[in-house]
Amino acid sequence: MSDAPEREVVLITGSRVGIGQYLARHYVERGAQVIGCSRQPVEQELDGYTHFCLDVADESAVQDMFTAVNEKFGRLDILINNAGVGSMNHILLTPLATVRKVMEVNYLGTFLCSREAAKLMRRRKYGRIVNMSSIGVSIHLEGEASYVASKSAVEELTRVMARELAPFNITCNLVGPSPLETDLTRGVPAEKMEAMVQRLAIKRMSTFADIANVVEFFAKPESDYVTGQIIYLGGP
Amino acid sequence: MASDTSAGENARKAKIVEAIWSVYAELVNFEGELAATEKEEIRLFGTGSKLDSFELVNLILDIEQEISSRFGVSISLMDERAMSQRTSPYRTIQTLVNFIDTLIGEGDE
Repeated sequence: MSDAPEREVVLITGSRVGIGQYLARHYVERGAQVIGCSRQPVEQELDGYTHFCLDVADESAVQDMFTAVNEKFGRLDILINNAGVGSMNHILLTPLATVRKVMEVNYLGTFLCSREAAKLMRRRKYGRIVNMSSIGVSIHLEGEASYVASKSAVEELTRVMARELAPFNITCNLVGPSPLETDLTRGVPAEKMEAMVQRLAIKRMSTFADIANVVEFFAKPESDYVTGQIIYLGGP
Repeated sequence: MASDTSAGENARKAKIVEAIWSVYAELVNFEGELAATEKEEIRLFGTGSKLDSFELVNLILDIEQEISSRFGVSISLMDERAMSQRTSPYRTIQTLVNFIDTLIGEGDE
């Protein structure tokens, strides 16, 4: 018997740390039922939050998670594909295994979670999918070829999904954060981060709140006529 | 023994036809009766189909659920030949029955 809630059901990938963790808390505080996932377990329990340990590129594990979401909550309103990995390296020094791993998590993970989420969302003819890109795509960021290529793939996937899923009243949009301090950027030299900031119209780094603001805009019910769009933060 | 197996397979295929039909008839608002062979000849994809691509996607996903609830097995009807006019398993109810029967059979092995 599913305890189908009246409250919003939100699934956030890569929710153990960083922006994913921030968004999970943000939506829990708003009264949503939040499901999160990451490869490692979370350290803190949170009321209204359910965590799954999995690799978003593992098809059967992802399918099992969405089956569990369906059985427990009977619906899914919002998917935020936040899980991602980076790799800073010159293309001539990048092993193929690194490229494959980045593409698997960033692109395949987004594809898999979106596909399974849309299957759930279509039943209620309502859904919001928000994917994560990066200003690295818009500025063709050197030294991040694998990461930028994977995010570019996510952008085009999102635009096509926007068209294919529109008949189900599912919108698909993207946020492209400017530099921010996360596990992903911890290894990036400070001068490189600063150089990126100087290329922006608004010369500061992103905050989690900046990102959550745009995610929330795309995800709210009133944004039902907004799809296939990307907002790059900071004005690259 | 061979005839028992064959009878069992035929009974399963008949159950699959009914599962598909229940979803299809509701989707196209079909009222009336058809023989099993007439149902199997109905085109789901390509020339002669009454379904647009959106309805076809809905049909396939709803059939997945129907098969799951009637047979107690979870199958995936995703297939790389989905949009092939020549080899798509969704061409007719009959080709879809065969596709599903094979998937259920694989699960039994």
